[in-house]
Amino acid sequence: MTEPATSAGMIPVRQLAHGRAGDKGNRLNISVIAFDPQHFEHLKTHVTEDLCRRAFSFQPPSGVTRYLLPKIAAMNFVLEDVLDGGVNVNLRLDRHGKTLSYVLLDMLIPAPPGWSDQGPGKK
Amino acid sequence: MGDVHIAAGAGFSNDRRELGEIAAQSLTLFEGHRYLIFECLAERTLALAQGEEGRRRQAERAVGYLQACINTCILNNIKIISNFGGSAPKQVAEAIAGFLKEHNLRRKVGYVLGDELPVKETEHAGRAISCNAYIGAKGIVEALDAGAEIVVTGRVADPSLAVGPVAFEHELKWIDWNRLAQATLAGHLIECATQVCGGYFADTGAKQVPGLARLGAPVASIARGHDRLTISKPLGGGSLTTATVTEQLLYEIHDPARYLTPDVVMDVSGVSMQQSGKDEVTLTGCVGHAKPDWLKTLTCVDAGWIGEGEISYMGDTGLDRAQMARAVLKQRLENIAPSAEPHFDIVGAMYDEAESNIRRPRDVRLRMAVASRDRDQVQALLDEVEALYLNGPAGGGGIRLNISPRTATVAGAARHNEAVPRGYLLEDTP
Repeated sequence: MTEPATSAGMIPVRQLAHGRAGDKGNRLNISVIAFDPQHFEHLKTHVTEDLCRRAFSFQPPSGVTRYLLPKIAAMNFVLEDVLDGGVNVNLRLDRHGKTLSYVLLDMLIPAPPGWSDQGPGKK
Repeated sequence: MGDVHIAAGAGFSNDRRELGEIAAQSLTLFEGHRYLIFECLAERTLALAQGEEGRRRQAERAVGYLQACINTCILNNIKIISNFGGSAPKQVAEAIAGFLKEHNLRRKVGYVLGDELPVKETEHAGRAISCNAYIGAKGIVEALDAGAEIVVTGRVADPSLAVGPVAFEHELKWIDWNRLAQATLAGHLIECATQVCGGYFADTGAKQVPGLARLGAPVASIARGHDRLTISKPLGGGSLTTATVTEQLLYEIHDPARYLTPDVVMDVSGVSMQQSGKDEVTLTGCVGHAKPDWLKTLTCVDAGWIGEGEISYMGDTGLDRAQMARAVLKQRLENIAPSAEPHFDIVGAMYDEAESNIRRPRDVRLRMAVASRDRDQVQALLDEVEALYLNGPAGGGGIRLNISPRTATVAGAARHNEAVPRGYLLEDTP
């Protein structure tokens, strides 16, 4: 896969974090989990509700809420109304929205201070 | 002594059959009370399982899961709990008893009722097919108490499949909120089976998973009176790490402090975890709060039909021609069925298209999906996709058309006394 157009000093979220999407009704949740707990504060600063809204501008959710779990270096995003009525009536190809975690994980954020390209999530 | 070990042998209705046997074999490595659960009931499974044919299919599937692991379970005194009873737990239990008799196997079979509610029409257009409450673990405890070694349930909340055996063996009171939450967390982590031990996790870089082709099954272990919960994967491929466990911990969770189940409100906001061994993670800090006043219900509604049609375009101008085909289809559909609201995807460029073609895929597939109460109308719209062969842009091919029933689910609420879980032992159990 080709890297998205990068601007200097920016990296995709997935180089610092991993995550998974889950659905319930018309709601989607996406976890964002730091590979290295030392990056959690950096992720907290940059992977915001606003970044999440921008990631989903092609399919705007009616609400985005972020929950923080500092003890496990994780956060949980809850997106409202992005599944067109939910898994059983959604006309989209991926009715569950299971693939959507990578929409957020591909978003660009500033690299943390001292970041080399050999970070944990790097290919 | 008195530890409860619960392995998961399926995480969805059609999971790998070999997983049940791997899970059973994994349990033989533990001392204590051993349980094997199969989680097989997705939101709309109950709607699809109505009628004689649906019930027969359910029973066949349940027997299929048992065939793969029953000998290991009997030899090692492993009890089995599953919601593979679907819309007819008693009938599925009877089918299982029949299978056991036929093979001269002795196992007491029980079942749980109480989730089925009278079907009421909803505000959603369409005929209501079924209505079920997500019930808790009490019925499982009653069935185990009656001596059942295989417990067949319907719409029991997924994590309650694990709460049942822990509540039974550790004699939990139904107000032991922290203990109930701990057992709920055990169930939540293993209910999707391999999803906690390397399944649905693999990627490049730091997310490589060894042995993905033969993923092992997870085992949750709870010691009586301890705050600790251990999840491990003793056999098979995959890996179980704090990373895989954290992904599953937050899977389908909204507010981590308030995960609502019929048994308890689980709060994982303060959970800590550590890698306590190879393929073994220990969690602490899960707490519980009083269960919600209401049970969640799900009404399945017949919402007509969904039609899907696809056609491929290749080459440097493939995306342009797919867009051309989409424009043509929109015009033709406007004439046939102006009220239809078809959804279009260009597979291979779905998200790039929204960002004005950063990349140019050389291999795309135009997909149209449409829903209607009128099957003939859906067919007529799909005919237009097929007509793109001769009547659309150059070089289109690989058309596939499909019509399937569309079932909507409508969430609601019921009081605990409207859907009381009850566990029974099958009369004439082998």
